[in-house]
Amino acid sequence: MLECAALTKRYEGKERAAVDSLSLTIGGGEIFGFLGPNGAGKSTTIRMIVGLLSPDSGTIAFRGVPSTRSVEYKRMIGYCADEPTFYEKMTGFEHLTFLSDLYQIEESRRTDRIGALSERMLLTRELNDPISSYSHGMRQKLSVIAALLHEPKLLILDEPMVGLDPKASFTLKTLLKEYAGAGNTVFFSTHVLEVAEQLCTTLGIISEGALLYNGSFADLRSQNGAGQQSLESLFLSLTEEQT
Amino acid sequence: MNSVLSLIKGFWVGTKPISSFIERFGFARSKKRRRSRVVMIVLTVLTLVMILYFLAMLAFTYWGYQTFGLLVGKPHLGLFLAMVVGCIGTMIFSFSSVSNVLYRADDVRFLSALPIASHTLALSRLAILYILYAPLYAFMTLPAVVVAAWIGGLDATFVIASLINLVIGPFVPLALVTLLVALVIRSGLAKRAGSTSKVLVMVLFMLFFIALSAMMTRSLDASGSLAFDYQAMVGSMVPLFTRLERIFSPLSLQAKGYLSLQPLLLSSLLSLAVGTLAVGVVVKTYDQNLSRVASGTARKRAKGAVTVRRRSPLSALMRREAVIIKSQSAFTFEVVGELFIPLILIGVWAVTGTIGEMATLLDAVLTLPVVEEVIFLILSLVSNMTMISSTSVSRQGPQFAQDRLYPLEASQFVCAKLLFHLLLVGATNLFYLSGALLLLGRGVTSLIWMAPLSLLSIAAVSSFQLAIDYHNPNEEWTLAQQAMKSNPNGLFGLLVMLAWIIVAALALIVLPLLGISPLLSRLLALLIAALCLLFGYRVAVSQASSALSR
Repeated sequence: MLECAALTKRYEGKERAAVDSLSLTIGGGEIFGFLGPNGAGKSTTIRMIVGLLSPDSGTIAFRGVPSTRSVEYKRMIGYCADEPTFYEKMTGFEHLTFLSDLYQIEESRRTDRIGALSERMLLTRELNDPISSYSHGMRQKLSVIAALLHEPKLLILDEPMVGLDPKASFTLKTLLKEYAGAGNTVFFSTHVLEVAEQLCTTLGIISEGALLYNGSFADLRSQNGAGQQSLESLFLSLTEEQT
Repeated sequence: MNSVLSLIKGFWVGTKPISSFIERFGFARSKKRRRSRVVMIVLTVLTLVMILYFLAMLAFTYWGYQTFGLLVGKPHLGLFLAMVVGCIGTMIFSFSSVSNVLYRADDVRFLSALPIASHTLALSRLAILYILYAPLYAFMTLPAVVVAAWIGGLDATFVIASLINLVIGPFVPLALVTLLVALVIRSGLAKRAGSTSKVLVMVLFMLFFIALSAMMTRSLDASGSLAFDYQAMVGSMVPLFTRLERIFSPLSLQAKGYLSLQPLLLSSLLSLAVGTLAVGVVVKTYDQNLSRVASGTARKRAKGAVTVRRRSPLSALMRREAVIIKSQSAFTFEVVGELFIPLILIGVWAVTGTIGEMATLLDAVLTLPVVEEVIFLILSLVSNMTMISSTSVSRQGPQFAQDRLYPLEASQFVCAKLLFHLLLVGATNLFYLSGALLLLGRGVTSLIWMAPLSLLSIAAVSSFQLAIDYHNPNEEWTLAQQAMKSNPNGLFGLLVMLAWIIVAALALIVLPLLGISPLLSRLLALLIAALCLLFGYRVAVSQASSALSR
């Protein structure tokens, strides 16, 4: 279970907090969709959860391990950034081997994982090419493989569908469902509301650093008396009320 | 023209080369990371002292040759030497950047997709290159102009020549390097040999430059003091300079231009012609070369050479350091140059015949009671004069953020960087020490104390250098040289090295001269180095922890 309690982050020189007292609890087996307009605080929240940013206040813990026990905590997390960066002179394979070394994955296990994941993400043929020659979509695929390589218990993806071709996008959605089905937690942000609607078991809607809604899509509908209203119109009405 | 100016302005505003350099001294206001004012002032003063010292050394050398030139009927000799140093120096320092500034920088990729005419983009990049390197050329040549004015006085021709050469002097070296880089890209060498070809050309440049310096230093008088033995120079140096003037006739013409209008006009026309040729070639081939550079990144690796062999995180991180260094020719050149300077020097001395004189000098050193300590200190100075650790985090650039994601302790990152440093610097230093001892017929038994002291001191110095870089890494560089060559952290790291040399000299040389036994002084040096390493390592880990949790 991922637990974020009263997370606050304020950037230097900014009056308004990027994330303001955000509290969240996401259980195992859930696919949590994190939605919000641009600049709402989604990426800041994600960067705090994965350890790229320290919160000014508040706590984060996964399966009872606080983020301050960083090594143990990070070992359980897989992260796919919105704009993944790599050592360009490495090949995709070298990058995955490098990560396998850092996560201390057994030789036979890493061979299996790299083979299976690259095959599913349709990147096997390009793995021996330098990353500098990869297209945006290929980088995204490599980033997904890298995030899943060490079989993390919590998978965090920031806009994972951007740049993926329809087939890879479908594969990723299937993969995420299987992954959550095995009791793991998936946390992902997206602007594509249809994807969230299809995939997520729970939703979080953030605007101006504050969490406006946290719960299931059905509850969101019933709370707003929206009947068959689409997620898009619910999202717009919620975030517009806030602004 | 307006577009070119806008592009230059855009580069300037976007990269802020001067203010980012100054910020790295700690002048920027930051609520969280405000540096101690005292440390900031000390660092600034020390940096200024180093710059002034370098300027004074150049001025002194130019003064010697300018005076000597007057005696042998070459009143432009000091100026000629400055023109040679300025030209070759600018070529050496700009070589690793030209390709980056013109074709490979991130902003070029972004700009080439905009509706900007390729000649506009090419002209703006050439202008940026000029703006970046003209100050360096001025730094190397201005002391000679001041010295020549001091000795020979000022007249209208001299003032005009000074102004013209200040502006168009950098044209020739920058044009030559630009043409060479364009040729390398056009020939496909850049694609096939990658950074290796650049490093080779750079090493050749460096050899040439050091050969020139070696020829110049042969004229110091026998006492080894900084006084010129003019009588000895007349016999040996006049034919040499006559030959050099023939080889570098355009630079000789440029130097003569300070004294007479006709050579000034000719050399200015020549510089303008070479500059125009380079501009023409770059503009004409810019689109094609940009495309060649872009397609060069799409080359495929040979398949079948991959391995999944498990390594420890430490070993994986050390291999990553090598990948980062190989990723930019500016990094590779810097590291290769720093590691192999002693070998290059010996080669140059051998080639130029100076090695005999060096041997004579060594004979004098061999009679000293602390000869082994002197050898150790010289090689320790040479080996520790490196920026490998003090720019190690900065070289990672934006990739440094990735380290915050890995499930590793700060100490593992620090250990990997220190071990990588030891592997490169420690191994070469031990090689140089063994070679020096064998060549001097001292036997290698002294390695019993030299080897541990060498490794301990290199690790200690590099741990402090690493702490400096972890404290304030430059993660946002656009040009590779901002991460290493132009990174003030490297400069601060050299100050740490100087402090160590002073402490080691006190322990190894001063104490025995005061009557303390050499064994005791060596043990003391070992103890100091071990304590420094312990303290330095703790500081590095603490700085790394705070950088990784920022």
